[in-house]
Amino acid sequence: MPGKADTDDWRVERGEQIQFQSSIYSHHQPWRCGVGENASKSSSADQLNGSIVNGITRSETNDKSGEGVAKEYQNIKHAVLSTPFTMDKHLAPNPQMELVGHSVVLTSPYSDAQHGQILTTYGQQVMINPQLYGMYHARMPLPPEMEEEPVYVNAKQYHGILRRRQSRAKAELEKKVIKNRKPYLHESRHLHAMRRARGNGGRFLNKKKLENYNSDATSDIGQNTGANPSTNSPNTQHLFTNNENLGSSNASQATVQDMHRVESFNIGYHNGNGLAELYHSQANGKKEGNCFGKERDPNNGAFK
Amino acid sequence: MEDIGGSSSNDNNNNGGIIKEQDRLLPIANVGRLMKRILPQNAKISKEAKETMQECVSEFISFVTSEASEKCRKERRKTVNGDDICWALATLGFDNYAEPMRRYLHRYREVEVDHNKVNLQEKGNSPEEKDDELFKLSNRGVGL
Repeated sequence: MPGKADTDDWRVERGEQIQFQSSIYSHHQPWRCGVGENASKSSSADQLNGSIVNGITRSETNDKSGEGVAKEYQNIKHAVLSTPFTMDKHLAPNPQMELVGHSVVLTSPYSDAQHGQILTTYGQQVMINPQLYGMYHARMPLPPEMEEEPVYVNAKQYHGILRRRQSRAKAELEKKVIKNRKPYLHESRHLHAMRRARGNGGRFLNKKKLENYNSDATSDIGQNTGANPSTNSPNTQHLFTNNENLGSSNASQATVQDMHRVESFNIGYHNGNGLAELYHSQANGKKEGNCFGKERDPNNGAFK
Repeated sequence: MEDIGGSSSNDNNNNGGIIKEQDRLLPIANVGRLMKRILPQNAKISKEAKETMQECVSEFISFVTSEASEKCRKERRKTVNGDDICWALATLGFDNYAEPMRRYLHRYREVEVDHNKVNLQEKGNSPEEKDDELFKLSNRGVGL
């Protein structure tokens, strides 16, 4: 009974959404797709009912689970809406790809049957989905005809989404958004970081460790030369983050100082956790070194 | 993939009216650190994943804040406070987040009061105590 009640609520809500959408979009999506979507949600709701164990009564638990499933799905859809593009008019077709992905992931045979029915009944869907998938991965602008596809969102978030679209469009018109990602924000700070001494694993050396480092300079020269280039980038990123935090409120400064304490503590006492962090830092450095291939040359030049 | 240019120009020239990346997005290292906390020790996160999550969380913050700001505008108020954020989460359908955030906000205010009291008596222990308390609350939020 509660599960069926959830389904009825979903149909009512979907009707409301269609009414909202009909004022903007001319094309109306067939009801059969909606049926498939409801089936997927029911399956997810059943899974949640099986997993949740709380002090709430049985009926309340069922209702809450259904709402959670619906909202989670809407959240996923919204995330897809906001992530790939900064232009709002190209956001429309994305949820269809997400919808197909959602139904494919489920293991229930009932949802698989529904998915098969959708594909067989509407041939145009088969044509649309691969294009959407490829374009989404490449983040390319969509053809104008695709924009007419309706987008179904949580009714509570409808006005908020429209407001955010207007804000993003306004920012686009004023051309105030810098889309290029820079490896660093300030040249002087970048140069300073490049000149700082780095220990084993690529971390910066503080004053005490610098003295120890100088005393053991002869034994560590070869190892440091090999390690430093690959681990240059993550430290640079870390430094930028710290600088940004220092530029903001005092609470951020306190947090950064605590982070420094923790790091020095780990490095100083050489416990297992510290070694694991060093290893992880090295791994990140190697991967990011590939991304910032150009940054290796200044590092080598500086240390030579 | 993305074009990351090694430009060495000074950013001071771009201050006038331009929304910089650091103003629109959260710092990517902090986002990566948060993502790492929920993963096992030896897990790795690609740079593209961090950037995608950076875009998602930044848009989510703008989305919720816009709803709260609209409420303040209607009520002729100029300051968006924590209660407005909790209200916005509930209004947008994020009920599972609104209730933990209310409890977090309540505990946060208690900690603030205690912090001010302790700070008047002795200043040595107050920062660590506050951070431990907030850290526990944060962990509890993650568990939910």
